[in-house]
Amino acid sequence: MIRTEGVMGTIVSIEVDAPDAAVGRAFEWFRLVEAHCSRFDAASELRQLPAGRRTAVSPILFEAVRFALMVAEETGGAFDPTVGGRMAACGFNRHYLTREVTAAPASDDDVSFRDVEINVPDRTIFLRRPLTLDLGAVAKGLAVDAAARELRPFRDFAIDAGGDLYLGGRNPRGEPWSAGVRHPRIPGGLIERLEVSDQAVCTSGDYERGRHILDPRSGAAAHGVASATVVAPSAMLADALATAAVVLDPADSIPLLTRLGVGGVVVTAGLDLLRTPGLRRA
Amino acid sequence: MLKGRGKGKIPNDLVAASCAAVLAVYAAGYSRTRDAASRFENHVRLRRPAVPTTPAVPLPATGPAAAGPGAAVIEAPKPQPHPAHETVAASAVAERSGPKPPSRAVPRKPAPREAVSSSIAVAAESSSPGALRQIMSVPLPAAADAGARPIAIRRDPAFAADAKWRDGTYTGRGYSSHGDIEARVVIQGGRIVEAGIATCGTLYPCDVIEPLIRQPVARQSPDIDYMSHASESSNAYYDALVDALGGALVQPSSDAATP
Repeated sequence: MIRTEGVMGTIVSIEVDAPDAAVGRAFEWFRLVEAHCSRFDAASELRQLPAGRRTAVSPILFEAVRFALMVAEETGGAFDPTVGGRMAACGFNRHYLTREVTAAPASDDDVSFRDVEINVPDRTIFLRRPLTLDLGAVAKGLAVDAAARELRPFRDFAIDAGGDLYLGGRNPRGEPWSAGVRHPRIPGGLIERLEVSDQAVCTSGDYERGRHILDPRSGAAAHGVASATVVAPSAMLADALATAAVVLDPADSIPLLTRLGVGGVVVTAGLDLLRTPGLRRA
Repeated sequence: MLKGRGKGKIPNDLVAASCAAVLAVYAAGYSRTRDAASRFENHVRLRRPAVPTTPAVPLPATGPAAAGPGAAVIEAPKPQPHPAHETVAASAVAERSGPKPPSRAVPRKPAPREAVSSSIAVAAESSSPGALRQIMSVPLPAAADAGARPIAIRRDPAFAADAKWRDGTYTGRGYSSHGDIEARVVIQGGRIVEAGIATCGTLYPCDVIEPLIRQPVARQSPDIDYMSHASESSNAYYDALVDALGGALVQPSSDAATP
């Protein structure tokens, strides 16, 4: 059975044969993570973070920021959670429910993830300068992963958070799940079909929602890659790396994904299709 | 530039870190999702249509559903396309471990018949644009319909593997937050020979799910794939297919009732 809720600015569908209580817990993770990590909600814990003062935070926010910084470091800033201010300046500044424009704190153009410090023992975050953290890619993935963990006892399930998928076990036909990846330029075209089981599939691209990914290194909309899809053991990793792979040169992203041991499909603006070795295709 | 590290070390870094982060978050938030579980259960229970408390009654025209105890009992489908504003047969059954309320057919529009099941079955007014949206606890901007209507809750597989279809042309409707899709299915010789979109009312062109449109013909079922970044449209098409095929389904019980 499939249940659907609107959370985290998207439609989340969960397909699983499980009691309502278990599915309720799975959905609750989206609300929980959003309450801590949304940059659109002035009441979120993320938005309460002051600049210039070391602040103890919840495990949810801390882990999301810590992981985002790890990905930022690993990708040389191609993924950068401090891009929030520039995203807001580009118009990505409305709460999805209220449609209110968020009054994000002023942020310098040259802030980067290196302006964020974390301290693991006391679980604190320190923003060196006024900036807006955007944990969108990581936070939604984190919620998907927590929901997936909630549903693990039921083995076979699918979580679809606005196209970010976690596919557990097998589909109702008893086969590995099949996830299609849209062709970024041909309406209705599928550019790839992936065979997935107990993994997440996340796609970032410049289609459907326009060029919504900024290159944190330049502040301009990313170009050169039309879409990037990552298959990984966790959705937070897949989502963050898919975001980075849209920004990175494929000559860098494919080797990076390969080294990380995750699957990837990168479609360049010229529609060249690049895959990591060993990708399981349906 | 990207960090360069020796092969063999990096693969454990981010993958392991993400897993550790999920574990830490799960442990921290576990207790906070407990309350939600009971709230969700109550909400779902409240949103389900009222189930008659009278014992299930056999339907002369179709016979009782072949499903097991507690499963849906649904009116026989008509071999005609659904009129646009009829309502789906209501039914409800217990969860796997819960009590199984008796059920009976409600004389409304044919609905997708549920296979033998101990899970939740169909309960919907599929003609309501807000039907699926009713199960969203957080209202979307477009989902202004706040009326207390029955909810569409479906389960997969929607039909038994040996489901049989009546010949004819059938339509069904599926909903998404950005619009509706009407599917059209043609059955010949008991097989799905054509599947397509009769009406595309979604914000995005239905071309986005073109690769999925004829999958029911190959699979002889509505079980189409997910499509990354077109998930809402593909879900709506799936709903529409289930709705349409529900009208074509031959009720096994009606065969059994034949001398």
